[in-house]
Amino acid sequence: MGAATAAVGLPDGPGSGAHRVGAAAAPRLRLEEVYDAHVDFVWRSARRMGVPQEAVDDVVQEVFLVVHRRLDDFEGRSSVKTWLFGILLRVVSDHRRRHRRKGGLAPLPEALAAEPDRSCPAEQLERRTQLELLHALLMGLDDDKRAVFVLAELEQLTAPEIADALGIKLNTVYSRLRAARKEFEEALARHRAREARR
Amino acid sequence: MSHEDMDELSPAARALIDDVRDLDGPGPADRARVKRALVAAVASGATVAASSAASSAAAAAGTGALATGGVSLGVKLGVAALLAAAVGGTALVVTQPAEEPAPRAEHRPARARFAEPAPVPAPEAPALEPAPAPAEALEDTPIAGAPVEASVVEAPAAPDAPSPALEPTPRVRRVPATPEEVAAVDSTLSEELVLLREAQRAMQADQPAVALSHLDAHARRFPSGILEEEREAARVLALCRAERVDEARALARRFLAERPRSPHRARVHAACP
Repeated sequence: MGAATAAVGLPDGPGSGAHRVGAAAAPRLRLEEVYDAHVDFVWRSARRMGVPQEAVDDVVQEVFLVVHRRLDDFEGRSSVKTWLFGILLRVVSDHRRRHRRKGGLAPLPEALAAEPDRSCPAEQLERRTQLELLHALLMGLDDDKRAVFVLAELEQLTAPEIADALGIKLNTVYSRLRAARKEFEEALARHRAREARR
Repeated sequence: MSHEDMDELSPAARALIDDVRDLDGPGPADRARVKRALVAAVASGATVAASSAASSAAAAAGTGALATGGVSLGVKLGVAALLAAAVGGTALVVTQPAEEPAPRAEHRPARARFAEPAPVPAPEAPALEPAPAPAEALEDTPIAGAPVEASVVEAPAAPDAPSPALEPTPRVRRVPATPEEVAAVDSTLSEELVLLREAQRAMQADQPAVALSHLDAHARRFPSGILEEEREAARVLALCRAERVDEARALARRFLAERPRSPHRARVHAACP
């Protein structure tokens, strides 16, 4: 995936800030290439931003349909990833708003939403449980902090890239990340304490 | 992140994240399924007028909007069309696209990038039949042209208070993806389609062994092709028809276990009772 990205000159991720997609010179983005290179990122980011398993197909599709319409708008931006994340946030918020109005389609608990007939060896089950914990901790953050935290700690983007993705100031990135880390750590500590009492 | 500017996470938090962060991505089947849906949606011009004031504005401006309100339905219709094209009405059509009820009576032709409306077939027209179609190259042509305003992206963060303009009223007008459209979209996909359609014709002619040979050809050529899932579902049906019941059941079990979200599950499940 990374190789394909490089081949078509799509800047991607940390360190790519220097390459800019020029208005004329650089090859244009093509939907399939963007999809192949970034569907994993969009998918996992959707999950981490609180999209339930059963809705993630729709959200990911919506993101790439927006991408399809707006490929030209990408010009001059530094990173496909940050661009995609900005689109994702809007799709997610739109999605959530629609479901809330429809009478609050509560996300299924992970255990129910999980793929039903996958056989899970014990170790895998343990990791699944940990993943659910991570998602639960993320959901404990508000939307702004969660976005910064996900990009920084799970995607390892740089602060300027996060500022670009979210359209916020660098200082705001730092202050939100600091607050998000604090809340995340506290919630994790509470969880571990509860576990220890059991 | 410039960690010198910020406190680091604790080792416990770091460990939790590092331990599981490769777990919440898509699997190969997920990637292929969504890609199929996307290709079909773009190819079919799955046109959906959206649910927000911004999209109305976009539609009014003549640009159309493929916005979130009904995209998922549009996408699904597109996929249904593609599947129908791929494996045919008799073999594997889970959803006859033409019979899919639109959520609203009102159809609004809001086209994202397709200036020429494609002919809309009569409801009973099978998606298998070739129809003249405007070729819109998704992969082969660099996406050019004026950017279409996207309501999703342009829409300001709306307040929570419901407003009539924001009511979700997905309106769908579907133009099916014929094999020809798909062929224009993606030559690989079209080659895949050819093989699966051969298999489907053989099934219609009650020649399951011939169908299986086409499916084998597809499997050799496109082991993880876009239509892999359709191929495997079709194989279950063909094996049943060929009275290779044990193989069919074993494959069906594997299919159901490995593809928990396939739209073909019901068909596969019922194939060899």
